[in-house]
Amino acid sequence: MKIVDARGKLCPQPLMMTRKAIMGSSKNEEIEIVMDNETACSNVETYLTESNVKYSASINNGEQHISFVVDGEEKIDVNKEIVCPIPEKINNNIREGYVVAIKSEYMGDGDIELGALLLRAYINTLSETDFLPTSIILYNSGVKIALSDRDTSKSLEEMEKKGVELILCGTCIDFYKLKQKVKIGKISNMFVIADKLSKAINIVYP
Amino acid sequence: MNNKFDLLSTVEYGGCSAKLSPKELSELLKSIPLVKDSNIMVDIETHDDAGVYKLNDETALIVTTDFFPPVCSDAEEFGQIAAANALSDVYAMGGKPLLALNLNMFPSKNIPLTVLKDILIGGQSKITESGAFIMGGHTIDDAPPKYGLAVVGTIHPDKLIKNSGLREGDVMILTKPLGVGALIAGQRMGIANQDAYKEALEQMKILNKRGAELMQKYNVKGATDVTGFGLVGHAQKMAEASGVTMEIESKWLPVLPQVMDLINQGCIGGATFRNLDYSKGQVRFMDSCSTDFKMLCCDAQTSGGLLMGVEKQYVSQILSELHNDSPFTQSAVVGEVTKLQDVYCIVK
Repeated sequence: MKIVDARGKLCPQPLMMTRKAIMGSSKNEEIEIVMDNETACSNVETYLTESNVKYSASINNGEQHISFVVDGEEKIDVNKEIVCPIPEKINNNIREGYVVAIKSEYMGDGDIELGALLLRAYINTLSETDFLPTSIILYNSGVKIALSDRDTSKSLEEMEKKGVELILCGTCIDFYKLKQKVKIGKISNMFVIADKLSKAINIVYP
Repeated sequence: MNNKFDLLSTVEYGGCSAKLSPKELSELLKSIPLVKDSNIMVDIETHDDAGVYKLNDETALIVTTDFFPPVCSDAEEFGQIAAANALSDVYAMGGKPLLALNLNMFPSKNIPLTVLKDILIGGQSKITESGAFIMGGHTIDDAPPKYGLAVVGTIHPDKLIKNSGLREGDVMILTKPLGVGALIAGQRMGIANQDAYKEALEQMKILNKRGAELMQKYNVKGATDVTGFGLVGHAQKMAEASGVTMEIESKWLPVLPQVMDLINQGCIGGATFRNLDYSKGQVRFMDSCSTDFKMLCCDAQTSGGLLMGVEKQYVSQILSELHNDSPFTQSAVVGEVTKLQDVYCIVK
């Protein structure tokens, strides 16, 4: 059993210690948090409830004890880069007003296999070109090229690191039920997309 | 030698205590009789941002006050933030600030008086920027220091923007990113990224003036500024006052850098939990809104952005005007207003 001594600690430290203990523990490990501050304890309890952790609580000599078993059912986000990570240094190869809009997972009309191959090649080449777009917007089946298991996602991620804004249509992600499978880009709404498109000087639809 | 006074050292490290919970406050106010007058256009009944009194058919007065202990180390910055925050209630009602009074609580024996001077200089700069005038104030000896202002603004009675003015079909726009509470907590813990923290301070100093002007330009009738009760606390109050339900899309929320990471580590201020508690029964968080985003929705803001209900046809115009006006580049659509459902606010 892991004992977390959060006595004498003020908010939000007991909570952070609890969180850290959960993340660093193996399945079925028991954790006990000891606190001497009622508010801190109540906040930890609320957090555990919200995170789907079943705990037992007791008070001993004015100290609160909370114990629970890590069962793998915790609803705690492990993904750290969720929204708005601090932008890295903007690459000066980015051309203002240049936007690439990907409206399908295929490039051009005709054979689907060929279309998929072409778009793969386009995306993988795009990161090598002289000028990068300010934004790449993916919608309809276009969002699928951002799926983690596609090699295009690596090129997209690379371009994101260089300062390209990658925007994914949220409605499309929901429609194709892909939320769990996408780890890059910013999931956005039609207002943002319409706004970006309206401000673009040069929109490329490959 | 740099011996600048650190104001944050005067407040209790950790945010467990201090503020009164919104729940307790509403309960307590129920037992105090409210005297009515036909010229009072807005009183505390609709939980609005400020009181409004109609002087004549052309002019109504907006009165409001706000003060709090230091939220940052630098005295002048604290003054600026406190003033921007106090002015914000006038802007949230669509008005123009006219007069202000300083409210100071300051431990003169423990802190050099120059610190108070710097706080007042910061406050003055923001009041001047707003076009209003400081008419005086009141100072008492008290620790820890607290600063804020009482502000009087004016508005044409027909142009008043209220909490109760949301219309079905309105699209909700939020003009500043969330996460100030988590970043201040992170700063106290020594784990905040300094660029992110600085960005939070800058956000807090920005006047909501531009937002107020755009609301008047585009016929907004319902709005509030997001402050201590967090996004959902204010959303819920507005929806209740308007007799509608607000649906919020958690993944659309604009967020300051590092905030989701801090929340993910459990760096969550005490006020967040009070706000979460207050939301019980009034707000429904759907499964699609993760625990971290739930905490973000309850994160207490200081001098936060305007949350306004915009008619669909004006959404892109307001957004592009906000985006082109550099301080509000993170303004975003965060949800919409529907007819009243079983709860006042639904977060998806």
